[in-house]
Amino acid sequence: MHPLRKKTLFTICCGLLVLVTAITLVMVALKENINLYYTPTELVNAKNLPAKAIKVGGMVENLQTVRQKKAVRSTFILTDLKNYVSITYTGLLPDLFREGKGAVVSGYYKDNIFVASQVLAKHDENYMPPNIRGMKNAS
Amino acid sequence: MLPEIAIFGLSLALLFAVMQFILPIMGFKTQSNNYFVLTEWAATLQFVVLLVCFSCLAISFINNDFTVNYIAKQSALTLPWYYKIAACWAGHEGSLLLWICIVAFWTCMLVFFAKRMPLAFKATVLGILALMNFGFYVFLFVSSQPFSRNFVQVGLDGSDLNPILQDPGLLFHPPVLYMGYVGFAITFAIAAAGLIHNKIDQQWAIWIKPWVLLSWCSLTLGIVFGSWWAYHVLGWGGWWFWDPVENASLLPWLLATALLHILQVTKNQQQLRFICVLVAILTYIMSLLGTFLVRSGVLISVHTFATDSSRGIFLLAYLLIIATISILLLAYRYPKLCQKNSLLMISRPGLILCNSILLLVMAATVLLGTLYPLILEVLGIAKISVGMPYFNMVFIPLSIPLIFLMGLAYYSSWQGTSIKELLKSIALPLVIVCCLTTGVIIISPKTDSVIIYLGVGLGIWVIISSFVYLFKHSNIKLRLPITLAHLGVGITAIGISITSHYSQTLDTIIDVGEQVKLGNKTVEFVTLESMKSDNYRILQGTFKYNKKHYIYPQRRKYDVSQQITGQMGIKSGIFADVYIVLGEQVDQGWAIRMYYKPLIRWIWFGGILMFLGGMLSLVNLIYNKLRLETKL
Repeated sequence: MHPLRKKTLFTICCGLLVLVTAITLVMVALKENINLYYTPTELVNAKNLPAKAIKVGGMVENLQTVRQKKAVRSTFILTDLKNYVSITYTGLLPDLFREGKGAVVSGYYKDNIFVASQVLAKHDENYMPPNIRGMKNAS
Repeated sequence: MLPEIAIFGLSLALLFAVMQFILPIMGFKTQSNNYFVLTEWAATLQFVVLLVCFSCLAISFINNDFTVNYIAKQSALTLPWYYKIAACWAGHEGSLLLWICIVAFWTCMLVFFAKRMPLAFKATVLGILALMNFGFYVFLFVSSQPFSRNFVQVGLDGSDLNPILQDPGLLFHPPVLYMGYVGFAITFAIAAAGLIHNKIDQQWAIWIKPWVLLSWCSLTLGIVFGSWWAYHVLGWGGWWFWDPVENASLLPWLLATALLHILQVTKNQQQLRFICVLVAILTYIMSLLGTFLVRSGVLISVHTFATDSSRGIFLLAYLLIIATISILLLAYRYPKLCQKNSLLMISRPGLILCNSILLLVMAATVLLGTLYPLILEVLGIAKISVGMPYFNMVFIPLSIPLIFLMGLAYYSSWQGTSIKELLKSIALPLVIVCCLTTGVIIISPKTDSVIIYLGVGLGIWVIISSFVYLFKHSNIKLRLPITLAHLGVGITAIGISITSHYSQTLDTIIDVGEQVKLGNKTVEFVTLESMKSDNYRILQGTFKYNKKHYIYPQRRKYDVSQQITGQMGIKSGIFADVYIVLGEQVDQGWAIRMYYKPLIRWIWFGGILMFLGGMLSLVNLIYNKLRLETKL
């Protein structure tokens, strides 16, 4: 083969290799690492939940914290004003986490109890998940 | 009175912007240079008027003029004065005004400092900038006017600045980050003007380079500030969360880094011109996309400050228009830019091209991960979120070859190096790197994770190679900036590897007088006292770490909003940080979270080195230019 053509072929092969690697990485990573996001109503009505961690967003109510040996255990409910989900979480809650405010939790849902491994509150003190904001304005 | 002056000023600035767009067109029609000089005047005046407007907003903030809606929302009587000034850009309307001001500022700088650019070319750049700024003026006047008043609510004390924002981070992070974001508008305009004038050559590369450097430096510093701010204020001990808003700042940074390197090839050898212009355009589009993501609230993000879909639609439309026009222009000039590249794979330009492609691929994967939830939601398939694991899984494998090639590029020459020569010159450094990495493996606690050592090894590889490069050649002044910036990458890589693996977390409940173990050191809860500050009350705990270092975490309750925020107690050190969060009172004790974060400072130190490298390179450019001028 002509040396110049050989070089071009080599470059194209390298480029393709990088591209294929990147696409494979992205596909695998996306398949394994996305979390489905639910509202409380969707979660209550969901038939078969994935075995992976999922996220739920809603308004916080009925917050209770108790000491359990050397850790803080919190229970609260997240509601979209139609349905609610009971959540338990062990660990420190974020500063902006308060009753009547919006929050998003991620974890596993089993036997009507959601065990959260992570709790996120929004930086904006007046934040509400979009579905609830609409309802609050309407009511 | 001041808000009215400001509104008048804004209208005047808009008028100057329109002139700044029309004058160059008239200049080209009549072939008269006078119009081009007038364009420069319009640009300067626009900046001066905007500066007055922005000062009006700042003074109104200081005077507690709560009849202005924006001020009533973002400020309070008791807010300290420096936060009142910073509150100017704490909300959507004010940050948009800041954006416009910074565009005008950079434009003005261009007028005064780009002396070597021909008048006609400069006027084209100014015209494009005016057109782009015009879109933002419309946006400001239609949906986000910061000076709108409401005289009914007189007597209010203001609803106070979001307590989470009341931090020194707010003073620096947004303006510096915006300087970077907006700076890419200048590089975009120079790229577009180059396409219009069909002047994408070595000279063009010389004109655009200082602006790419300046913006890149600002963006780097802005990201470092942001990461540090998040670390010391949010209480989860992390420094990067792969949140959509963080990704929005990372995307232009990755592209700008690629641009900076490709530009060097274009400047020295007049090659890779097409990809250079393409990346210059994409960089600005990415910074616009970032603004869209932050301001529209379309994504599930912890940062969402404003959720208003009409703003989102406006920004999206603006983004699409800019993208379409510039890509069409690029396609039109493609035949002229296309050339037979005679790059050797193993040469400085070849390796730079390789790494630039890697950077672009990284940017593409980050973009995909950020937008994927949005696309699925719009298509109605599912509501999902893509989190940290995705990004780590994609980003880390791509950065390994990137960092390796970065070190390798030091040993190659611009004309090309044979594989034999290359192997000969990297043999000794590689041996040193292997020895040092083995040393690290021996002294660090045992772990199964190979990737940590790979990260540390690559970091050492870059550092060693940088020093080899610096001392092997005589012209240190020219090489120092490059060395500094790449040293920064090495140090950051080591910091990330170590801190992400060896950090320790402890969630517990202890009362005053009790002790716990963090790792193998003791932490004692010594006292708890309450204090009062200007606009909040403080509950401060005193902790004693390892029997000698005192750490003071606080809980603050803000008077106006009654909101509670934590102020982390951090004992920072070169080798490790100890980080304590004071939580709520539970039964007999306080909920406490503690972190041990080894080498976390290295991440930001590396970032600052990158910034310094960029600045030094800029100083070199200016120095050389001055020397040339005095010689002539």
